[in-house]
Order: sequence, then structure tokens, then C-alpha cells
Amino acid sequence: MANRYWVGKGGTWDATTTTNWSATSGGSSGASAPTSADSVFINQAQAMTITISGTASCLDLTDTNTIAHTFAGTGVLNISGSMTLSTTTTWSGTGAITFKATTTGKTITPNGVTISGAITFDGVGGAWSLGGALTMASGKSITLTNGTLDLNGKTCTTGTNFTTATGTKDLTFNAGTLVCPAASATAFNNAVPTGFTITAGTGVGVISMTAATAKTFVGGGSTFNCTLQNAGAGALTITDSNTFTNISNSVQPTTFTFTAGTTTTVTNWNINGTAGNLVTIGSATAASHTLSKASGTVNSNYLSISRSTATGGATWNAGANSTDGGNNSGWIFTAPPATATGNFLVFF
Amino acid sequence: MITIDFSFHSQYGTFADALVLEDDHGLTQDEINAIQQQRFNDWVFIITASPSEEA
Repeated sequence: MANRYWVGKGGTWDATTTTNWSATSGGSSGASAPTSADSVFINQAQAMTITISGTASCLDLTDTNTIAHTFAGTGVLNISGSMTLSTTTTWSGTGAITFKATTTGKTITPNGVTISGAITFDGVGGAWSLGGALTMASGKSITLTNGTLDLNGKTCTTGTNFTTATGTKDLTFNAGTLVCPAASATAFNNAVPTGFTITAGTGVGVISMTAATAKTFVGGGSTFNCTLQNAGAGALTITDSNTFTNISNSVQPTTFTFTAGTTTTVTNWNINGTAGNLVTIGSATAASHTLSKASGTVNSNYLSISRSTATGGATWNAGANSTDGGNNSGWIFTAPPATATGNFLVFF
Repeated sequence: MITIDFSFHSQYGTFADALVLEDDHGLTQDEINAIQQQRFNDWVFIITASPSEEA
């Protein structure tokens, strides 16, 4: 394990070029290119462009350059430790970035830098905690293969898909938010649910599907210890039989479409429309879906519901201003009974 | 280094970020507020700009 310091102006970061690497801060160049065991420091205050080429590697990447500078190129970057960027960093490099740590305690602090290369988390036993919002450029995905991604109360925004891959992986929220803005059939794509856990941590985590047009949440049948929120006007299609702590919407009108034949289990249901802005609940095909809540009372309103079986033990009040679109079961389309708030006497 | 956590709430969800600065950054509170607001504005722009499928 060694340290490698970038020296000089711009240049190439690959597996072999020694032109810009020093073994000491501000020292002479010519040190070997960093490997996965070497921590990289970009700590010279100067404008530069570091072009990533081929396959570049490092342990930690710590960028404290206070002058505007750029990471460019199409090469891939494998980071086996933590990453901290500077407020003056631009990341225009389009090569993939893979976080490969196999131990816990790693941090990712983008510091306001939008990342233009797809990111994969792939380290068996690794764990990364966000030290700031992680925002991907449009079209750039996040893939969780192995390890734990802890949002740590921060916001993680994928540029296209959030995808799971074969491996043992965990998404921990700790009150963080995962934003999936793509109008895509795989905006959230739990493609490999085997080995995938979703952990609430402290506070309430949210997966926010924000596209203004149709998008899909491929749940994979997992248990999501978080809120799934439709935060865009476009219909949100939810596939598979999943379990959610909460399902909600932040915009009206919008649509929730469930795959027919699936059962969606919730602890809380907070979907409501407003006058003139109904929220539509339906199935993707001409058959029913099932919504299940074990206990308590759902009090929705301004919904338009069809092909929906509400069950599980809870009372499902659609609300007096909701519309029965047919083929429903278990929903109550009347105003919920008034709740007495005190004792009173009536004298005749 | 100092870390300043901040967040904005919107219909798209909470934007929670952290501003990491040198100890001697020399920024005023107004300048820090402006950076935070700009980050939020940039985030809203990104998520409302019709993200595309990866090529």
C-alpha cells in the first residue's frame, strides 16, 4: 500500500503511465501508476484535465484541488476504497466506475459533482456510505451487485436505471432517498432479487419515481422497508408481489398500475387525489390485483379504482369522492364513519 | 475540512446533500446558501430533463 499524488498539469491516468504520479505530495513524477492498493490524492491547486484511459485503479480517491479541474476520458475506474471529490471538480469521464471495496466503512462524497460514468457497487462484504448527494448524469445507471450501499440520509439519483445484479447486496436508507427519474420500463429494476435486502435503518427511506410520463418499478417480489412514492404525473407500473412499508404519491393526478395476479402488501397506504385530480388505481391487464394490509384503516380519497382486491384484515376506505371503476373487492366507497371526539347528551 | 449538511424538500422527494469545504474556505453564509440553492436547482434540472436510457 502506498500513496500516489498527481503532479503536473493534465495527463493520462491508466494502469501504467507514470508521467503524473509522485510518491510524495508535490514531489517528482515517475512513481508507478496507482494500483488497487494505493491511495490517490489530487491535492495540487491548479487547473487540469485528468484523462482516464484503459483501466485505472486506486484504493481511496481524495480530491482536494481547489481550482476548477476535470476528470475526462472513457476509461474505467476501479475504486477499492472511498471517494471524495472537490467542489471544483467536473466529472465528464464517461467510463464506468466500480466501487470494489470488500470491507466496510467506505464513504462516497461527491460534493455536488454530477457523475457522468455509470456506477457499479461490486465488492463482496463491502459497504459504502454516502457523505453527500450522489447524482448521476442523464443516461447513467447505478448497479448494485455486491455489498451495502447506505444512503446515510442523503439523496441518490440515478440517471437512468437503478438495477440489482447477481450477488449479495443491500440498500440501506437511514432516511435517505433513492430517486429514479427515468421514464423507463426499468427505472427501478430489481432484476436479481435473490440476495437483495432493503434496510430502513434510522428514519424513513423513500424510493421516489419522478418521471412525468410512464415508468416501471420492477420489484422482484422483495420486501422494501421504505416508502415507494410516485412523484411524477406519469403512470407508475409496479410489477411482482412486493411488500412495502408505505406507498404514497406526491402529485395528483397520477396512476398506480399493478400487475394482475400479484399481491402487494403494505404497512401503510397513503395514496390520495384531490378534487378534479383523481389518482387512478388499476391493473396492467384485464384482471385483478390484490392489495393487502394486515390491520388498521386505510382512509384514501379522490381515487379511481378498478380491478382491485383490497384485503388482509385492514379496513379499506376509498373515500366518498372516489370512483368505483368496477371489478373491485374490499374497497368501501362511502365516507368513513365520523369519529366521536367527545361525550355529549341529548335532551328531549 | 468541514461538512455542512443541508436539504431541500420538493414534490420529487428530499434533496439531502453535504457541502464539504476547506477549513479556511473564506465563503460567506450568503455564498454558502447560494451554493446549496444552486445544487438543488441543478438536481431538479437533472431529474426533470427526461432522463434517457443508457446507450
